[in-house]
Amino acid sequence: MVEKKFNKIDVIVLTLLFLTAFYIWTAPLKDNQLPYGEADESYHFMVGDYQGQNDEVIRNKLPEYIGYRYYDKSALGPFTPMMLPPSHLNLGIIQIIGGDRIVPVFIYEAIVSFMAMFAVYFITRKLFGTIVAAAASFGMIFSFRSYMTYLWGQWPSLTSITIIPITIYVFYKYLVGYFNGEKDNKLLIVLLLLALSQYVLHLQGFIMSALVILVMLIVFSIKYKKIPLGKKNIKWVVIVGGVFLVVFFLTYQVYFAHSSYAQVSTGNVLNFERIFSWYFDPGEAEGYSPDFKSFNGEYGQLLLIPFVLGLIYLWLNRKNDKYLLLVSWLIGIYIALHLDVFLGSPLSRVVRFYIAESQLFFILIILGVMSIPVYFKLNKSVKDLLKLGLIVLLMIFMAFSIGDKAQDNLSKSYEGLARITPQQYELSEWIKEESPEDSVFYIIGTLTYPKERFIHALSMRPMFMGKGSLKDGMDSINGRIDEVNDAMNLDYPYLVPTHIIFDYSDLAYLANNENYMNQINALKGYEQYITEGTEVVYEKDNIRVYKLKEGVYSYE
Amino acid sequence: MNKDNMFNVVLAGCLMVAMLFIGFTRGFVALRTVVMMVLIFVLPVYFILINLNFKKDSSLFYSFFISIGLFSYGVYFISFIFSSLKISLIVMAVILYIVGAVLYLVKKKKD
Repeated sequence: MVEKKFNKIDVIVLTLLFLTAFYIWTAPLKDNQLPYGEADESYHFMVGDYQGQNDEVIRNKLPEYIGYRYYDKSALGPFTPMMLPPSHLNLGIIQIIGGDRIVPVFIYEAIVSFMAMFAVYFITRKLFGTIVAAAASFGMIFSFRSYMTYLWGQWPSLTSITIIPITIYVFYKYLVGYFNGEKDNKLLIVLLLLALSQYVLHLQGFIMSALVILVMLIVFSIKYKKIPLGKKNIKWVVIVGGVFLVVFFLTYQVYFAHSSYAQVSTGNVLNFERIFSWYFDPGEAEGYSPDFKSFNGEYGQLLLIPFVLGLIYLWLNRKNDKYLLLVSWLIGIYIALHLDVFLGSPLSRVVRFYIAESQLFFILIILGVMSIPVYFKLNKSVKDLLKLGLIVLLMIFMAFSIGDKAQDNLSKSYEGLARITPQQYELSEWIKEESPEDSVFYIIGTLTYPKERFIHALSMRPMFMGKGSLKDGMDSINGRIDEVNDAMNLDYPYLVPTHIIFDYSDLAYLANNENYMNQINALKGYEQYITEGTEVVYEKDNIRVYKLKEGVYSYE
Repeated sequence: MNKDNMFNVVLAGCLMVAMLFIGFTRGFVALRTVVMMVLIFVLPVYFILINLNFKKDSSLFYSFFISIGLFSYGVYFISFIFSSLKISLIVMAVILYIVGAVLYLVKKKKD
């Protein structure tokens, strides 16, 4: 089938898809433009924010206020970044070009997260035409796994995963071109650039693309009974492969260094029975909700029927190149989802590959629906009309099932006290502007951990979170520093707080609840005890900041 | 009206609608962010690819997905010369636009 030229219908469809996704995914910013998200998000925000706010690029050393908090997290050592520069530098760049500290970062992250929809549109449009592309990417807008990962703040891996369909399409086009005598070595360069883009953003998206490409290489070589390497392309393959290897060897330690102190979340017992199941047991990767790890949670139970029809259709057409691409993609995803079994990879990482599953499964669901008329003897025009009708029905169904759920989840996420309040934002600004640069803060009373972390990020000072008494909190931090110092023969100094923040601004809203009232009273008692004779340097909206006396660290 | 003109009219109309929608629903900063994203993360590489004879749609999609990873990596390396992020960002964008312009001139000369 000759590919139809990109036309005005595509432009209209893409505009509608973009605006729908934009409206739904940026809903958390509709009435409140303060930062939102989980703890991971605050880290990514913090590293980007430092660069944007200071007009400076972080190289090998993180600023102290970030480095001390993430002392034991980077594989390369204390104060080193955990990732290659692009993911975080993009956030600094977006602050500069967007002209604001908060909104551009969240607009950018929403867009690069839902752009998987465009990647799916692109590959599906190339293979199956506009209607299938429109419907499959419409489903992607409502991908529970994608928008939850965006809200949880695992931004770099999500961005890297969005690129997968484009990377594998470029390889497919090159491969099929090679076997059909239409080599286009420019595509190899685009492939290199896309693969590098994924690799530098986050390893996970790159791994998935590499697996699918490897499977495709094997499957297509078997089909065409030859290896896609010959006199006419070997020079290009060597150049492209060589460039990638150079980048890889210069940077791989960021991802692969094994150090004695960095916390690696392994510990999963290898479960070989998993080879026979696609989804995790609910007990596996417990940090993720069951909806994330199941078909029903992502697509809804009813879509299982078109999905199975899609698989059957795929099998029936497997000799056709474009369906063989989908088969390879499916096998690649299967391998990625079982890397815990094959390589002992941590389940907490493997589970994120489910995000990439949706890119293929939405295509299969649409193909499944489109295949229904194929099994009946009908006129071509009737068949076409029936296909269109079924697609429209499916899109309406998706809009009212997973679409409703997405709209509901995103528009109601981080409302009220669940994200930092204007009072807490003001406090952060005061710390950033007014406190001495060598200040170290201890914060106590804020309702949730991610909120504390955002106050820390926005304040740009070392800040530690209340774990009971000041001594308990500081012991826990300095204990970690101790461990790393021992493991690496280093001698980084302990942090000693110069200021303590008593934040009652959240608790004040909850004072009619007995538990919170008790917390307020306990906090007030501690405040009185620890701050006797110390100076209040900030007092506003139920938040007080004290400058501590020397030696106060030992206070219980 | 020929097909190309029609396409351009539809494209301009869609861009206008999108900008109005973004501006009205999420405000000026959001609109500025999206417009600047297109100028920084799409157009520079798009002009390069289109002048290397890639199709319009392919150039558009490839440029965005290549740029979100590699544009800032370029900025990172340029910042070794100009320590300012803002200056490095401008230099990187200008370099890419110049490469696009040179390729355009070369292509025009060949044609």
